[in-house]
Amino acid sequence: MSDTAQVRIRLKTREESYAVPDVPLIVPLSLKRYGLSQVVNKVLSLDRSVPFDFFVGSNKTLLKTSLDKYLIENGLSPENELEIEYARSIIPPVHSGSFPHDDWVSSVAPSEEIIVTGSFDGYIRVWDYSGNATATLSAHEDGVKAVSWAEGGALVSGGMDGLIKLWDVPKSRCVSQFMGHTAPINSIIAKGNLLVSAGADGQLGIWNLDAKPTVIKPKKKKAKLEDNYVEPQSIVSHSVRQGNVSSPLTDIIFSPKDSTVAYSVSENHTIQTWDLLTPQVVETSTTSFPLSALTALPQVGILAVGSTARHILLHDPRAQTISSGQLNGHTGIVSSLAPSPESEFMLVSASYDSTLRIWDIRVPGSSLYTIQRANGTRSDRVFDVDWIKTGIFSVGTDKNLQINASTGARATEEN
Amino acid sequence: MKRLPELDPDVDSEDSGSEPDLTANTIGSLPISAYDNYPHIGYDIDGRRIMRPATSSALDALLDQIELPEGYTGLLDPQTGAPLTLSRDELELLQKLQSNAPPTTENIYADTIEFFTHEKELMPLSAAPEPKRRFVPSKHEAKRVMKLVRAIRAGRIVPNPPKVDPDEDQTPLYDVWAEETPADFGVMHMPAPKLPPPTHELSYNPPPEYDVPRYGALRKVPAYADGVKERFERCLDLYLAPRALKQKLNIDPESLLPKLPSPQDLRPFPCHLSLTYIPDTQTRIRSVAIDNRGIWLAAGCDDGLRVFELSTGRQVRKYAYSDPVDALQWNPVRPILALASGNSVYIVAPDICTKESVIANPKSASAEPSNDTPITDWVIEDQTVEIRTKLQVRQVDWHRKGDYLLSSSSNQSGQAVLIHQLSAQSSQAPFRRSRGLVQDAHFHPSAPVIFVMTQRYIRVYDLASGILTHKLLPGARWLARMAVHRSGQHVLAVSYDRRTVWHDLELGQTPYKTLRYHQKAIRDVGFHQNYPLFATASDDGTANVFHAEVYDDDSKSPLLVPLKSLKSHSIQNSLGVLGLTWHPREPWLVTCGADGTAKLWTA
Repeated sequence: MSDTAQVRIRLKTREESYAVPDVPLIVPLSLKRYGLSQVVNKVLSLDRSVPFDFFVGSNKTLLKTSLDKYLIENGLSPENELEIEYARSIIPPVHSGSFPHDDWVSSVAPSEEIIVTGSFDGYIRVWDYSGNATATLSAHEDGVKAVSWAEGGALVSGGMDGLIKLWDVPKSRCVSQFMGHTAPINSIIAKGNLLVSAGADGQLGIWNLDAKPTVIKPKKKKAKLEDNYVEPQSIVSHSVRQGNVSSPLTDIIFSPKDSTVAYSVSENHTIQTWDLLTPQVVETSTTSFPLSALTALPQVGILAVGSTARHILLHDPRAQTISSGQLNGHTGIVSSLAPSPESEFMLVSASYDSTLRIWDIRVPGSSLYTIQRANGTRSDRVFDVDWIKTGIFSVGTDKNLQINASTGARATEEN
Repeated sequence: MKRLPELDPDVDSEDSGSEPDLTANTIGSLPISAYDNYPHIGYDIDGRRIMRPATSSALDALLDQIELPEGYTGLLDPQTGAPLTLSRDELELLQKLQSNAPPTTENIYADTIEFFTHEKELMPLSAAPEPKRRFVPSKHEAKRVMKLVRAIRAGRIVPNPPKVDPDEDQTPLYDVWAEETPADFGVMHMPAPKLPPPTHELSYNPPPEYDVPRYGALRKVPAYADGVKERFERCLDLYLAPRALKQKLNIDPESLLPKLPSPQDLRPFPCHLSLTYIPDTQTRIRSVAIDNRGIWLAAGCDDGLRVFELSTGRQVRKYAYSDPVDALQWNPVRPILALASGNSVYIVAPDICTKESVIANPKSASAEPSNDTPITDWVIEDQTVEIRTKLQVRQVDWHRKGDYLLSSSSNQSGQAVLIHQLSAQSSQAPFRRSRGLVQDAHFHPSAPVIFVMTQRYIRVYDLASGILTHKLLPGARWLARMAVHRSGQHVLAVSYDRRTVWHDLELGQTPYKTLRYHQKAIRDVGFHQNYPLFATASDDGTANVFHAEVYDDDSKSPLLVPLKSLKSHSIQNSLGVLGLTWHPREPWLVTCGADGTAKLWTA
């Protein structure tokens, strides 16, 4: 193919601020991502050049080579018009730090200023961004399973002992305890004064954070904190049962639009929609696999569900059936999911195959990036991941909190 | 028209006799004798004289005047070139030879004249006198006689020797070894050198000691004449040119195999290694069990009990025991588990999330003093109950209601199988004595029936009536473990001699099917509670997963399909996978092995 060979393309985007007029363009076949990005920049006549990623063809594969190599690999003719979708590109995540722990780390809750991790040694550690543990809270006897921020800088934690605790982080003090689960807490979320917990006993706990603790064991003369518990506002077993026991609930999130609605996934293959006020299960969608992780992509209105069968399902909660979207690539149980703070189409997944993967749901073929453990082996498991503007935070059996910087788009356009 | 001769007066017409009619004698009827005295004999038509022709006598007279030499033959001697002349004698000889007559003229058959005959002539031919030597004795003969005489006298010649009997051996005998002392010669037997193996040649030319026809050479063998032809036809049979059309059996070998569904259609089943559980110290894991909520995994190790969180692989609890934990099982109702370690059965309540006593209301020890000594000794604490027995406990099994516990020991005594009641804190021995070494014992999943497996047999007892209802013969040398299907109609037994035996109780004593998929001893077997799956664990480091569909219709026999061989455990001290357990709801399998790990296999 000669250097002057050209192809007709039609550029599309879902980001309206960067939309180009819908007219076919004729570009040389030797263009790569950088060249196409320059074309878009020139058409838009932007002040600062913005890098873009390009997804070619009907199956929306990420363009990693030049256009003619793509055509050759896919057996396409350069005479036909090529449909190319583009989006602002992100830089590859760079490992920016690892904070070592004494034991496996089960959960992480980052904020803009501090990071909180819960570890299997029973402590909650509070880190600043320079890697100093500013506080260590002795939280749960057999290990912390879940930590989450509540409103007003408060922290909630769920433990292997089935207890939920509310913490005042600046004072390093436990404010109140919530008792009612009979198995480890797998996931915990809080919004306003509402605290919702998902337990391995298959029960969903709904608690009032402002409730006063009541003394459950009044026999002791001096009531310690350990004896004062908040009883649940309501604790609901989810309705699908097998035999006389219910399957563990593995993850729970609030609906992005309505904080009185929560979604949960369970090992009994179901995605359930809860009305937290009633409280009861509104809707149940059944998949074929035990599910282990859940997150929402609010702008797209899609739930991403991690399964123990090593893939991520894309589910529209308004639809009764499971949508066909599926992200394949992990080789272990998907343990945690988090949406991107930058792009409404991207998310990160953590898996027991010791990797994090960054996905764009417009590109279901493969993950955009794979992040290995910096201080671990290939047999390590990643338990939790979170993605905020300051980076991707992941914890696992390598006893490290690993931070990967992935701040938005590429700072400068490089080839 | 006849031409008349020209009359030419210049030419003599006597010379022209070419025309007979022209030269014809014109004498007419006048006799010729009339011209005898004349030189002519007539006249021709022209009147010229016809001269008389010359006679033969005149030629002879000329020839006689020529002289021929003596013996002229008219031939040339080829050797000399001269004219050959033969004499009269030589001509006669040639004539005799030509007529086969003797060449000589003498009479060759003439009579002989006999000069010396037997008849004495009156007149002798010689008159010489008789010589003297005819009258004196011969000196030469005397010399020869004297030589003999002297030989006889000297004894060299015996005139009449006595006749010798040829049978009688005249040579004297003497004992060669008379004075020999026995000596040690070492090894006296020396085997003859090994003969080379018989060759092709010996087939038609065997050694003479065999009474079979011998042929000196292969070409003398009677079949040799057709040998080449037969060999050729045999080659034709074998290669491309059969003399008869052979009907080939057209059977697809695949069709002879039993029609089994593809494993892909029988999903889900465990096939993917998802999690590895590693205890805090390196120790062999002998048995595993998942609690009925699917949260905890209990692992019986060589140095005690460990409890893991199933979903994360975290070790949560550790209980140390002096003896290895051979078997353990969670209570089907409550979060407590029973385990066999040494001579004791322990019932443990792991206090992870819930603080629960094993026995809510312990009966006081002195409440009911019995006359006979109890079989077992119950040591009751809040979190742990120890039931001390007299034998080493190998296997425990809970009743489905969670109150009764069956423990078995590898022993022949009557206490090999014990039934413990948790609420009454008492133990009883259902059998007076056991028939064979008890390997395993299980409750029926729904009926008051127990299965007792000894080394060779499986016996099924009805606990209500106390009678033996079935005796199964798996046909294995040493059975290891068994598992009872949730219907209670099917029993799986595995043996140390690599067999997995499926027994259908309705099919009688013999097994429905015997599977041999392992290379080494099989250690454990288990049915899934909900899915039609079972798995076997073996010392070859693999666990095999099978599909086992049991139909409600009695006429349909169970469908067994091998699905997957799970290979991840390493073999240590020739021990591979030691135990397995199924997840209570999911098609997930946990295997444990001598390499000190337990592994979770998910679909």
